[in-house]
Amino acid sequence: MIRLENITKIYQMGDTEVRALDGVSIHIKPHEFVSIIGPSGSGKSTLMNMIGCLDVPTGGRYWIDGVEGSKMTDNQLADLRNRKIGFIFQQYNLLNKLSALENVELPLIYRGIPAAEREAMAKRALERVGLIDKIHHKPTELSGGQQQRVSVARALSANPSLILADEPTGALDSKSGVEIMQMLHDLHADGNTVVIITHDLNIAKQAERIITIRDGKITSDIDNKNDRADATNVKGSDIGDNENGKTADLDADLKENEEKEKYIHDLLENTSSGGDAE
Amino acid sequence: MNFSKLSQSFKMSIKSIMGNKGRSALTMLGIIIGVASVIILTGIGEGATSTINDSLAEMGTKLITVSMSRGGWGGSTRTVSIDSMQEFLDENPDLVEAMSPSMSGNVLLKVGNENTYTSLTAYDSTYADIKDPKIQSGRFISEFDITHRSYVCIVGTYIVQEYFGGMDPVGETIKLNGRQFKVVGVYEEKGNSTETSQDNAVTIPYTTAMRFLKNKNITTYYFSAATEESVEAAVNSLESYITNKLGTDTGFTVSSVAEIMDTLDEITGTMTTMLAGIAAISLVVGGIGIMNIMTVSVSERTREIGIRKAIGARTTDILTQFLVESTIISAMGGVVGIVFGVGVGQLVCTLISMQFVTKPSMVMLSFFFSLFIGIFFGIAPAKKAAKLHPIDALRSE
Ligand SMILES: Nc1ncnc2c1ncn2[C@@H]1O[C@H](COP(=O)(O)OP(=O)(O)OP(=O)(O)O)[C@@H](O)[C@H]1O
Ligand SMILES: [Mg+2]
Repeated sequence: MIRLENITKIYQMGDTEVRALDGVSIHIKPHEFVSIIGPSGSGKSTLMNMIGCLDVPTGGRYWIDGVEGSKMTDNQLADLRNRKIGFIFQQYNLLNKLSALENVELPLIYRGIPAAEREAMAKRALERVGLIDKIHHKPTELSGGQQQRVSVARALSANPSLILADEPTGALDSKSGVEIMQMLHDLHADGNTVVIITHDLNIAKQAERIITIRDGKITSDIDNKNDRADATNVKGSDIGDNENGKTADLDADLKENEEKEKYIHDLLENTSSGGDAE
Repeated sequence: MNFSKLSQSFKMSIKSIMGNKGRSALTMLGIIIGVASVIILTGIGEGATSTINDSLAEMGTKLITVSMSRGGWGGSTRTVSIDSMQEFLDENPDLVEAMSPSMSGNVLLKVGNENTYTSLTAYDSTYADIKDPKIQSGRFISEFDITHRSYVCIVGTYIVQEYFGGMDPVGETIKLNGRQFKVVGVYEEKGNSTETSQDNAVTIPYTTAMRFLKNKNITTYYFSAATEESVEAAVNSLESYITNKLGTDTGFTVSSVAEIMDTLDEITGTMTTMLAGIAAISLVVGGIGIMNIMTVSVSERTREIGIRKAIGARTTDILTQFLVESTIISAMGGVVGIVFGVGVGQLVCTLISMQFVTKPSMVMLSFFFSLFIGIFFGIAPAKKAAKLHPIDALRSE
């Protein structure tokens, strides 16, 4: 589905250069549920923007469904984002002048879907996130959790194959966070690929695969399929297409179960201390 | 770019314009003022032109006037005789169809015991073929009056009001410089029947006048061209004829209303173009205003653009959205400007009792010009918006 090879992203800040991503290689396969965890400033968002074709790397190559990213025109990338990727942002990124329904319709407009059909699709998506009674509300008339549900609806309305969520629960209380995570699980159960970025270990542990990132480098890539947190009603755990051969090169430091648990705990410590340091 | 998308960006633009009424109105203001001034200035220009043309046409578009003037200081007026002019008329039936000598002066008018000065004109009976004398009662000078040098006159409405108490004076007599004249006709009112207006006037046969005023010199001849097309040829022909008779090409002028109208048309045309040009400059200034505000709007809405791009808006989608927006703003400004311009123009012209002409072509032109301004000055900001990189746009606040 998505393959990154030796991706670097360098920001030039005056004389110093910031290596936001430093030789990242990942292969995300269809139907995977991946979490990317790392401390603040580690390059998670930068990585997500690469995966979501919002940003162009400074170096390295990447492929989406076998097509090389650098060979695509801006319009092709726009179409790709439109059809294949559904974004969920930490800050919702809804258009405040539009109603919930219009926000959800937006990607469908750019896809050129006729009005009637578009509205039906958007309503279905809003129904799915439980907001069918709030379709004419503006984002400012909704709670944070509701706004994030609108953005989930927007991400899924166009029926993308990849859902990319950058700290989707970061701005939410725990109850709303659980609801949103449940929706992501459901989407995964329906066969979507889900990539979620977080610095919350409890959330990361709900994924089938946990990738940790530090200082723009991948420090681990762990198969978590058998140990997924049961905090939520996990569906679709039967999906198993993890080919050892392909992941081996990526998660060189695959750990035993206890080690894994310990590693992630260590990471969490580091995450909080890293956060304090900033 | 399909129709559904275009109608969608139309809807989105309307929404964004309505969501920002104050700013949209301010943006439109430049265009409104520009279009309104185009409409007002050209309307007044055209109005003045047509007022002048109307009153000239009133004088008759086929009218040719030959005026004799004094040749130099103290020189005597040389003139061409009536017979010579008659000869010209007879020899050039394809150019001219009627001729009347004319004289004018002031006379002392006496009705009963009241005296006043009034202006006197004298014509041939053929004058009626050149120009409608507009008689409201009675008749004009007849051929009989000319040949018999009758003491008859046609009077203006001032005299009727002042000396006959508004009663029809036909058949009554008045005294001009002590001679009795019989009133045979009354002119229609030309001005407002006051002493200083054209209605304080008396007309008598020119033959009578020549004897009565003891003046043999005719200083003015009126001709009527055969057709409107022959005016120019008739003027040229008359000029060379008179030059020939007098042995000089000075001391007289041959002019035609058509010629004056042409010259006036040229002058007013130039003026209208100039006014429109000045107004067009204000339209361009309005356009720059649009560019300004749209540029501000693009920077304010960078994040919105980023979101739209993230979820799949193409460069052309963003470009169209902003272009449609600036075009709608200036089109709306154009319509308001037209309505405003016509309204104010009509009002002002009514107040100063002038004619105001709204030419549909001018309305269309200024509308499309404002549309063009919107597109032209919208391109730069729209391009700026479209070129934004999605991630940079998303990051901005
Ligand atoms: N536009 C930019 N210009 C310069 N440096 C940038 C830019 N964007 C990101 N960086 C730098 O790149 C690094 C990675 O940033 P990124 O936003 O990916 O971190 P993150 O892991 O998402 O952090 P957080 O958890 O706080 O969101 C940081 O050091 C950041 O300062
Ligand atoms: Mg981030």
